[in-house]
Amino acid sequence: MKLNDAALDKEYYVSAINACEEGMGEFLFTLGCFPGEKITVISQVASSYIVSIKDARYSIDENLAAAILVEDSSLATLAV
Amino acid sequence: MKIALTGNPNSGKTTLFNAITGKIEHVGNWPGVTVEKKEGDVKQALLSGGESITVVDLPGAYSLSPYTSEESITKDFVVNESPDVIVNIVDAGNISRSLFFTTQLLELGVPVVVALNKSDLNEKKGTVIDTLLLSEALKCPVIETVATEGSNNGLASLMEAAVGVKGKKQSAPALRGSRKAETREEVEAVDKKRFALVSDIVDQVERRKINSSKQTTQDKVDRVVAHKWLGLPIFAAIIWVVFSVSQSWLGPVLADLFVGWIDAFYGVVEGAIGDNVNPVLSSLLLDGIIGGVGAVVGFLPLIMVLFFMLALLEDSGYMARVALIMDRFFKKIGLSGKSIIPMIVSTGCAIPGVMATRTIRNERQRRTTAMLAPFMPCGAKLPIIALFAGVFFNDNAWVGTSMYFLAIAMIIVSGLVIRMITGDKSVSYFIMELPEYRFPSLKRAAVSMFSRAKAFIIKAGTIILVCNAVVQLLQTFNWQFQVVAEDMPGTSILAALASPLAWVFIPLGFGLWQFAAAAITGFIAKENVVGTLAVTFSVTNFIDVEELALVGGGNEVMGVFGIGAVAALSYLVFNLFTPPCFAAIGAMNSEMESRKWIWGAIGFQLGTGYVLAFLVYQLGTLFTTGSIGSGFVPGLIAVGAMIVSVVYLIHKNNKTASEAVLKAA
Amino acid sequence: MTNTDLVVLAVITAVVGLAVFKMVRDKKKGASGCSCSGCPVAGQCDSPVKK
Repeated sequence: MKLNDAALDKEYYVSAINACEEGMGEFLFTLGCFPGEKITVISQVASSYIVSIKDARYSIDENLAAAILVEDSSLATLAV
Repeated sequence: MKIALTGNPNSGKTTLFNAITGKIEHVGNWPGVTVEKKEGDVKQALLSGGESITVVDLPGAYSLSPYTSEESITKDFVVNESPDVIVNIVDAGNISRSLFFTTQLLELGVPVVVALNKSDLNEKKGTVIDTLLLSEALKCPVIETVATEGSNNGLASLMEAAVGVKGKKQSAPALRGSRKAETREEVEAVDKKRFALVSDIVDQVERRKINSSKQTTQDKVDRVVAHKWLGLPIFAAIIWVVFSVSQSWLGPVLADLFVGWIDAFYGVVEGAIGDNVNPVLSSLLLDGIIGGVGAVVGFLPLIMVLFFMLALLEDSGYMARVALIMDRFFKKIGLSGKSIIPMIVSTGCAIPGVMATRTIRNERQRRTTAMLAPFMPCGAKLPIIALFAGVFFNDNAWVGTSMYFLAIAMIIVSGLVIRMITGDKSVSYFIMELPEYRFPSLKRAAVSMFSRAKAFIIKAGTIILVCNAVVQLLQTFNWQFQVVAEDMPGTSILAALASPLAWVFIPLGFGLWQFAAAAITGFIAKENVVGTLAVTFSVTNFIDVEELALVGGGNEVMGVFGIGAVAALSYLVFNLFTPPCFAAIGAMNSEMESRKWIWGAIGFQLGTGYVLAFLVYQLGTLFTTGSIGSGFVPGLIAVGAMIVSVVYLIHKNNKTASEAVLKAA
Repeated sequence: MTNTDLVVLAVITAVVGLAVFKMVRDKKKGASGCSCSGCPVAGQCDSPVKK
């Protein structure tokens, strides 16, 4: 599912990045946001999401949130 | 020897740079403040003898990966200028991300020293990092630093470690395939391993008390200040407080005192040269140089208070939240929150603001931002705001606040128009690291304030002084180089030069040659507007308004300037929204890299200033007196022509766009 | 011209001369003349814009 639909305060695993802007996927990668990594939505403010990736807080807008696909952590562990 | 400072954005590189070199570079608690590399020499106190060290502060980067073009400056620097040592500044609160970059740096073949910065914050949070173990794992020295502290900050040991590793070979933690990786997939595969390696290291060396993905008090604050409906009013309230302290409360008190000294100085010089001196010379010195510069410098206390408070605000980490609030509005005009950073920087000076647009990847967005950022009232425009707020509006804080928000509103409206002209429909993403809030340091704010004040004084003593002297001479003589008769100031060279323009300004309410002349000198430097008004109206003290009334022969301010409050507001708006000073235009030119764009930008800014001033004057006059202002019809024709040409450009673009679609079909 | 005139003229020349001298020197140092030397965040644009 898209990050927009993620519940607050719950740890998810990134399953795919679908950013159409060139370089964005790579940029997210350097922040530690790539398939298999953990991501948590801390809060939803204005039209943005505040997320926690690797001990840092970022604000990301709706478009980018929609480009980050996540899956439930329990499912991911099952798959492993 | 040469050291390069590298690290993630907002890891405190510039703060550390300032601490080891003793320089006063601009810092802010939000990412992306530094866009150009900066050089300095390490203070002698930090060197235990030996050779001198040059430090280069590089803009922040998250990685060296070849696919993130934005951050290639670091790599280019290391490859082209081969520093002896790389000091990698790592935010101790976030090693699980920062060490990714560190492992890349280690592979460059230049000795690396890691500075574990902000380690004081870790202590507060109960996070413990085993630096010895970390040093072993990375195979390079790791030094804990607190760059914000004056002493006991670990900087001396950092320098010692840097000298120690010079010329030594370090072996990077082994990552199979990292040298051979060429294709995108290979690089990504290696980088994944890299992150796995970092996670391993972090697991070994770090013990956290607080899980960072859990809600904190900071997150609660974020939910309020970045709230959908509350965010903007809170921002407005904060700006209003800043202006009421600097403009209505503390600022005028200090300014009164300060202007008293300037007046006393004027009196001393006047007494010293006596009555026997040639009136042309005495007025050149007294009214032109001392009076003109004094009028500008008189606003220094107000501006210092304002800069102090803005520095506190920047230091607190709030500005990143402003970008977040504004992102929603900027999306609508095809820009993103990223465009806010140049605009916030522009509140200090438009030149670095325009340069900060370099971090925006999308070309149209970058050019549009460079075109709109100078609308923000910069430090040089503050004296103009302060002058008109003080003289016409009783030092009301609403004048400055409303100018800020008018600027934001104009940026949004203009952005929409530009988007329609260029017809760009690209969507953009916005991501920004949110720095932690911290209690702003009074000391840092004071340092920033004094460095800005110094720059202000230097500017007043050089370009402003020269301009005022020239203005004074031009208004003293007529074309036959005879001294202008006192009752005929309109025959001077200055009046003759400015009068044609004054005609154009009649529909805006200030069709007097003095105002036209001040608007022209304003292009050299915006402070000149105040200086030129002082010289041409022979007023030297703009702070003490009662005295001003006395100068006008006991009449009201209106008697001195010949315009009312509505026209004054119109003039203020005109000066804020016309093109910025030449230097800022130069910066726009080099960032836009397009002749079409730079001339379009200047034309657009001129038009914006004119239309806005026209609306303010004519509507304001209509509301206050019930009738329209002077020169309404010609003004309306001019404004109409501007709007028609903009509509034509939009239409032309739509046509070419639809033709392109047809051709494609 | 009286002596006082000469003194005042000398003072004016000196002051304006110094101002111009400083501007020229700043320009040579690479700061872009009237801009960066006086810009409130001068540090950010110390180095001339190069691309």
